[in-house]
Amino acid sequence: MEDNFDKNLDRIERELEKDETKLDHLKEEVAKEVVIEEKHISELREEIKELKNEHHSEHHHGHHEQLKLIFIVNSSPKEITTNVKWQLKTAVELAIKETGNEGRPLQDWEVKWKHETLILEKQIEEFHFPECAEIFVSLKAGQGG
Amino acid sequence: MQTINPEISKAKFNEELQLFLSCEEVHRKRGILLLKSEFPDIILSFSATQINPAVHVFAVRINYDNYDLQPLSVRFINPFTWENLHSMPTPLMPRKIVNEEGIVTEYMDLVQKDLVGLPFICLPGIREYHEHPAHTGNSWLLHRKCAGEGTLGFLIEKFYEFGIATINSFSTLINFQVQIPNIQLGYDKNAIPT
Repeated sequence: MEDNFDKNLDRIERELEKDETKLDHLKEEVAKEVVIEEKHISELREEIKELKNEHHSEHHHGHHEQLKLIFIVNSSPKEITTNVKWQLKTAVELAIKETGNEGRPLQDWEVKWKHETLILEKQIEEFHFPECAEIFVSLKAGQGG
Repeated sequence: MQTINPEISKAKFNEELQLFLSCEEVHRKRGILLLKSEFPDIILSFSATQINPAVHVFAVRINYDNYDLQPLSVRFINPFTWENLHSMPTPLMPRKIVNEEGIVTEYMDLVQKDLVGLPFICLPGIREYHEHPAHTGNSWLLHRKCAGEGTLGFLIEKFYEFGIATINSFSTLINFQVQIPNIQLGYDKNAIPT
């Protein structure tokens, strides 16, 4: 009777040890998984942050770089969406082409805003045009008189 | 006299009129008013709105007969009676003449008298210029369909540039013999185009 009790006790103790070992092992595994998952979550958070910054930058920076201008070429109006980094002549050439007024070199044209003659080689942002500023593009008069 | 199919000239008349109307507000703010548009004529009035009081400076009848085999005809008219004017105040459209060094040698008026004594604008792209015996070497066909030269839009810009934009004041000369002040327009010499 006593023998049986001791045997059972030994068996239960061995099973307990085994379970404890198994539990330690599982704890280690879970700890490893936690580290991996935490790292993954951290990476995802960084990615979300970058995407948000990128979107914000595109939205605002892109908005500021584009500027709508109205070019009135020989009295024909043409709206051009420009990039403020362009030289003015890029937009003028486009306006001349899109109003069908091609045929003469750019130096034969005069470009004015508020009665001031504009320098075509300057960047659009240098003129500080408001949105939809009306810019007059007219062919210089031929020799007459 | 219309010698080409009038439908061609009429189509071009309508096309250029629509372009004008598409920015009529811009023109109006600059003092350019459409008084009449009925083929073959467009009548425009030009005023200097930059001085106070704003003043009507001139009106023109632009004629589309035979356009654009022939260039547009431009005649100065009375804006109230629409009769041709036989004389205009001078200078009406001053232009700088510069030499090769870019130095201004004189100021001349683009408005000259033609052989029948009517004032005309001496500028390539205008029928009266090309019909003048002094300009037989500069055919309209050398200018036609080239960067819009001679179109209604081109003419409007030139009339505004030379005839309106440089006006900056009134000037007064008093003639003591008749006791009537002679009020003229003053021009910003620096702004006069070449």
